[in-house]
Amino acid sequence: MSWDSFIWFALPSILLWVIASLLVYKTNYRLISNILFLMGISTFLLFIILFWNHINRPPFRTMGETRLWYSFFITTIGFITYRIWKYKWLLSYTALVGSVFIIINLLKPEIHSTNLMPALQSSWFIPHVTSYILSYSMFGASTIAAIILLFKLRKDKEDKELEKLIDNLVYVGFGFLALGMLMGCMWAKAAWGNYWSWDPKETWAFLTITTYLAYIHTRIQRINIRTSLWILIIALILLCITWLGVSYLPSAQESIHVY
Amino acid sequence: MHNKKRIWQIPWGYRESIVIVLGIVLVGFMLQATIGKFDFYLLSFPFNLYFGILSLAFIVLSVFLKRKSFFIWFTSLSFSVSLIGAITFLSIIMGLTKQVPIVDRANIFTLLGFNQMTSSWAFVLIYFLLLLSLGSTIAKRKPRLTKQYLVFILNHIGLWLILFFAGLGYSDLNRYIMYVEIGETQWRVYDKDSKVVELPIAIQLNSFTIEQYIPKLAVIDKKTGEVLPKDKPIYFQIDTNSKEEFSFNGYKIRLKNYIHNAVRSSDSSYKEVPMKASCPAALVEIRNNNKVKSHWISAGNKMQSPMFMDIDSNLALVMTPSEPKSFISNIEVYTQEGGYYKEENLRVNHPLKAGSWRIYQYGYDNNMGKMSSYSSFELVYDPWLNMVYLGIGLLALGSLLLIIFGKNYKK
Repeated sequence: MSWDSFIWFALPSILLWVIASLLVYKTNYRLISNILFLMGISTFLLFIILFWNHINRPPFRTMGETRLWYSFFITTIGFITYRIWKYKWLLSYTALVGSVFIIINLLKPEIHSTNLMPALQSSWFIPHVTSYILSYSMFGASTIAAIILLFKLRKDKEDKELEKLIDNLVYVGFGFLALGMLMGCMWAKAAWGNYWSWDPKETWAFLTITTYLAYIHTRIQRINIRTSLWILIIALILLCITWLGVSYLPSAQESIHVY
Repeated sequence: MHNKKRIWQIPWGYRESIVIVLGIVLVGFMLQATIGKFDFYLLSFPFNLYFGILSLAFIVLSVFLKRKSFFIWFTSLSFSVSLIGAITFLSIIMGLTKQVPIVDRANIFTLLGFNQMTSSWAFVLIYFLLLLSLGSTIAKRKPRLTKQYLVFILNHIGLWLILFFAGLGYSDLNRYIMYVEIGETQWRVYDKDSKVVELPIAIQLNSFTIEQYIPKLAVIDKKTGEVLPKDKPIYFQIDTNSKEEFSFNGYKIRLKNYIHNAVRSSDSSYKEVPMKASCPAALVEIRNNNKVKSHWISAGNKMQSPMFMDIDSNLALVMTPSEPKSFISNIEVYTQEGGYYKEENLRVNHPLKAGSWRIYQYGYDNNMGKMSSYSSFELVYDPWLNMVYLGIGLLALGSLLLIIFGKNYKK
């Protein structure tokens, strides 16, 4: 299944997710909503499997392929988190973000077939990237929740459940971020003999992780939660720079992570 | 709470922590401007050992004095967060400034060490303060059989081990490049200053092979040599299993035959010969308005000239040079102490461990490609690596528990 067929899987997935995320607000249709959402994920996964099979290498190399996984994982993990915490908005949000990445992929595929250079042929490739995508998904969700909470706090409405959700999402996201980074270290060691070399992407990944570290530690203290929530928003901005922006920085023109 | 208290009044909180951390960063900048960057080789063995012992002594001392207001503050969250903030701030500067190995003192940024952040005084001071504060915080906490303590101890000790051994072990880490001709044994290497050094370890290169990817086809402008279309060049992947055709401006291009290890056998044909000087070649057919023509094309290499195919007076069909899929050295390693190691498949991402040495496939003669007469290796000597790996392992375990437990709320 080549990239040309993507649209025939992408559009049905989006449609299923949109219907599911609308139906979830109607009590009687919740089961149908869940089934439709899972069908959307399955349709999308089917494309990834067929595409993987077609290109004969893991689809983790190009920006377009990374987005494929982003859509898949954010909807899958979003669904699981929705099932655990029963926040209906999470399902809608998940559908929205998952769809945005599909639409970007449809409009601007960035899928030029490239042969993997030797350094990229590693068993660390899939777990390293997957772990990062999972953490990005969690941090994306936690930031949306943080913004909602900031609005609520402005109206002097406390929401302890939402606070817990944000903290848990950040802890889970941080776990994945740290694992992704450590796996990156192991990979770099095997490929270049260095587990850490302050490559610009590494520097940005480092300062992103320390910012989340700051959030986690301020939350253990009883300081104003608004400060912590703002740290979370800044952290996501740094995360986006790490992910997308580093390639454009003049300081990073020789980075090994430009792809 | 903070507002009612005057600054420097005990217990210290954020205001005091931020002022102190900022002060240390400023001191770092001043040291940098006056005496230049921090020289990591001051910390080479055995001085890193002394420094490590001193750090541990400080941490042990902090346990006995943990009720003193200084150590209460030194292991407090306010101080930790301030240090995290400082290291983030310095990293942002590092992330925005191009990092260079050698600076000529030209402007205010280089004067403050922005271009060599990791060896700048400010960074090093904050790093070691973090190491001490983290160590004392770990030592202070009473061990308990709870989820919280388990997650705390794994993550914090893991991080501490990494910071401690990566930081103090840095100057003991040595990297060398060794070039070995096929069939020969070599122990002379180039160090980081490109000086020749003799090592207590020797590598014998038995053979070296390069595997190449199947190349692609492209249409070029014969005058400029540019791949067309100019704004979005098309590369057509040769695939012997696929019947797919490559269309360009009404021309239909079809693959009729492909030989991966080909040698030219006449003016216009190729045959399979599995030798180092061989290169990929393809027989292609071009159709346009019932006109059909076939031709062999090849990107060639140092020994064989390339072959292209005229499409019309302006266009030609060419094959792209093969990209390396993997390059593999078959080596035997001897150390002065009598150690012997063997690796038939040394390649990128698959180094060989020989005691405290690790040997990496580094490169080959790029000009000669498959016909390279030598292979090069990077030899890394890192005696503290296992301790860093231990830290990475503990931190990974702690991260996994974060994912499983989330944040634990007291019921």
